[in-house]
Amino acid sequence: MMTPTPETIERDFKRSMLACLPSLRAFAVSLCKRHDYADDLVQDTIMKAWAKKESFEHGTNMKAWLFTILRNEFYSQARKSGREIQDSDGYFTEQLANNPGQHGVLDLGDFKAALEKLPDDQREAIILVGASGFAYEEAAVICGCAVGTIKSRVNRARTRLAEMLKISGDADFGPDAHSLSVTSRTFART
Amino acid sequence: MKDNQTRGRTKPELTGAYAEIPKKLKAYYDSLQDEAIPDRFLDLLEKLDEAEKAAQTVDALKELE
Repeated sequence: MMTPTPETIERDFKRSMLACLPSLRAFAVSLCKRHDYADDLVQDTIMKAWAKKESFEHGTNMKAWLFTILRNEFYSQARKSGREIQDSDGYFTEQLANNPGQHGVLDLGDFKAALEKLPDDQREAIILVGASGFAYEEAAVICGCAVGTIKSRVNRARTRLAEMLKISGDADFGPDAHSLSVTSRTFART
Repeated sequence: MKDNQTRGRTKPELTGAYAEIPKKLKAYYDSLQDEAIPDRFLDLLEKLDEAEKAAQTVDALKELE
C-alpha cells in the first residue's frame, strides 16, 4: 500500500465527512428532536471537526469520531443554555393517549412520539446501537461510559418503548370494558 | 403462579412487539437519513476547504519572501 500523501488524506477527510453527513444529521435530529436545532448542531460539528482534523487518525472510524464531537457539543450547549438534561433517574413515562398498534400495525408517527419521550441517555443509546449501526463497545466510547451502561440503557429503552406503544396482544382489543374486567379478574385471583 | 402463566401465554405476542421496535427504529432513522443534506453543509465544507487552501498559499508566499 502506498503511503497517503497529505493531499489524498485531505481529500479523503472531506469525502469521508460528506459520506457521514446523512447519518450524523439523523443522529442529531434524534438527539434534539427538532430539525432546525439539529442542523445548527451539525453545522457546529462540521466546524469543530474541521478545526481539529489534525487529531483525527487517518484510517480510523470517521463516523464514530464525528458522532462523539456532535454528542459532546449537544450536551455542552444544553448545559450552557441551562436546558435540563434528561436522565433516567426519576423519569417517568406516560402512555401515549391514543392506542397505537391496532391490527399489529404501528404507525411511524406514534413510534417517533414514543421515542421522543425517552430520557436523552436511553434514546441516544438505542439509536446508536439499533439504528446508526454501532457496536455496544463503539457506542460506549461515543458516550464515554461503560459497555454495561449502554446495554442497560438500550434494554430500558426497549422496555419503555414497548410499554408506551402498548404493542402487546391486548392492543388489538383496546382498553374496552371487556378487557378491563378480565384484567381486574386476573388481579383479583393473584 | 397464575400471574406467570398469564404472562407465559402472552409471550408470543410480546416477542412480536419487541421484534417490531428494531424495525420501526430503523424505519425512523432511515427516513431521516434519506432526507436531502441541506446545501449549507456542502457550502460550509467548500468554504472551509477554500479558506484553508488560501491560508496555505499565503504561508507559501511568506516563505518565498
